Amino acid sequence: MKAVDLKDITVRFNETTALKDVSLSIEEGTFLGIIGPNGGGKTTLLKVILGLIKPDEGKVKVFGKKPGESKGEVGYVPQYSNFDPEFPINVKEVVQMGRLGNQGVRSKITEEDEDIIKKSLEKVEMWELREKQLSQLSGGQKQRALIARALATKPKMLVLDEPTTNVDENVKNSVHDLLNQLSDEGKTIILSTHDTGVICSNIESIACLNKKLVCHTRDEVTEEELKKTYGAPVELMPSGHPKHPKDQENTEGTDND
Amino acid sequence: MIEILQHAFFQNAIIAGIFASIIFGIIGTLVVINRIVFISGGISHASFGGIGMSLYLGLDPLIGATIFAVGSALGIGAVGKNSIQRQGTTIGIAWAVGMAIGALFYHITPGYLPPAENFLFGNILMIENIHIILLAVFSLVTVLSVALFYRKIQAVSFDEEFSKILGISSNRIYLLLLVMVSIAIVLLIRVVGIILLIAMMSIPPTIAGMMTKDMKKMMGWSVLLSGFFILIGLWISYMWNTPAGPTIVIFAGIAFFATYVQDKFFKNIGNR
Repeated sequence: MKAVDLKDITVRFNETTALKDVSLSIEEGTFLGIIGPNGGGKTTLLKVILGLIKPDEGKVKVFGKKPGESKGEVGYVPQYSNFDPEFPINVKEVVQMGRLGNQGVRSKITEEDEDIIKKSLEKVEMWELREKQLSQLSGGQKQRALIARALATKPKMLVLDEPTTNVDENVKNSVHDLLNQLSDEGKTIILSTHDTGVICSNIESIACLNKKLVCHTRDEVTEEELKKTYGAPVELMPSGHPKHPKDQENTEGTDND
Repeated sequence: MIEILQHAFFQNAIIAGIFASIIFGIIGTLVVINRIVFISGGISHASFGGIGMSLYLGLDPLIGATIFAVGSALGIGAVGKNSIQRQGTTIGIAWAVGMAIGALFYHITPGYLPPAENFLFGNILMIENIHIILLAVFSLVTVLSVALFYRKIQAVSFDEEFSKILGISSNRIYLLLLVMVSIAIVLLIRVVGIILLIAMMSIPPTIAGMMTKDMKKMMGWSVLLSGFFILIGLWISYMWNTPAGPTIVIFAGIAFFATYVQDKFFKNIGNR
């Protein structure tokens, strides 16, 4: 079964075209990386898949259904920097959000919910920090709390928007390890990144996006395709290459130096 | 000091102040964490148009104020959070046009009118029993609805998109919040007035937010702080013979400034 099937998706914001004729189909169980420059439409594409943005043209199917109807099948991990850093909420409350869709008006938490919340937190190694306020956490911990929240929805597919932006090398590795593990367990994973320097070793296919889908391949992305995506020469660390150069900057891999 | 407590009007002011604190503390926390302080300002000022209209038509000012407040809240909400700039524009328009409508009605209404200052700066000492009852009922409604929908309100306030994906009708919760804010504003106009209201909506939760990052505790502290500001402000206004609304707000403002400076000071020391 196809996890995601996009046909000729076009999204415009007023006069600006964010996505143009994007067709992409993702098999269940695939680990897909979407790369492309900032402003290239990566977040927009993810939001189309999540049903948060309705495309102006084209068809979207997520697990054979319209994206809005596939509730609970897709777990979303937004960029933690989108949030008010002072917002009064603790780690457990964040993860509890993942169970909200399954509860009635009163949002009562059942024992089963508690169990799922605990397992999700343990999976990301955040159970000990469950009582901490989100504002007290480091970037990587916030990211992991948000991944736990997505896991708590028991999704078939995880969608992550720039999960390794603004986190240091260690955190990046631990997030990658976690995603690799989830991928091994059979979850479909889609992640976006503008950081071509390091790509998760388990990523099976890569989509290059800059308004249009420049390439979608299971093989190595060619230099030519990368150049087309970013409009400048870019180097991509080959997949299956967990080592990182010591002086690797953790953001903006778009310079060729 | 003691003899003033024997006057019915002062007792009423104290009771009204206590209920007002509950509303200011809880609704104010939601206003601050949802970053809708200026939407509240817009709603508050827009309601002056309704007050003028009511006076012209010979109705209770509460009726017109409610219509204008809820109307402008839904209008601002409908324009949506999609475009922050546009929402800012709508807030500004509702704010100023509401005041203009109010001023115009004040001008064309013949006969004796209650002074506009009562509505603009509040007049808690003249509060009537019906207002106290309404404040009490709405305090109860506020406490109950927040207790009932606590998780959903927190979820939608924290991350609207994620809530949407879960199938929570976050737009409905957002509009419900705006309606609650408008009703709160209408009822609190008597206490501190249209112009001063947003200070009491934002100062107690902001100080509370420096003390705790737990939403429930933040609400609790906000209620206590609001009560402290209103009651002590009332007392100062009696002692110095100053208008109650402005005195309460200036007192709260000084407390905010002091807490802010202290917070920064301690944080700086902690960082060294």
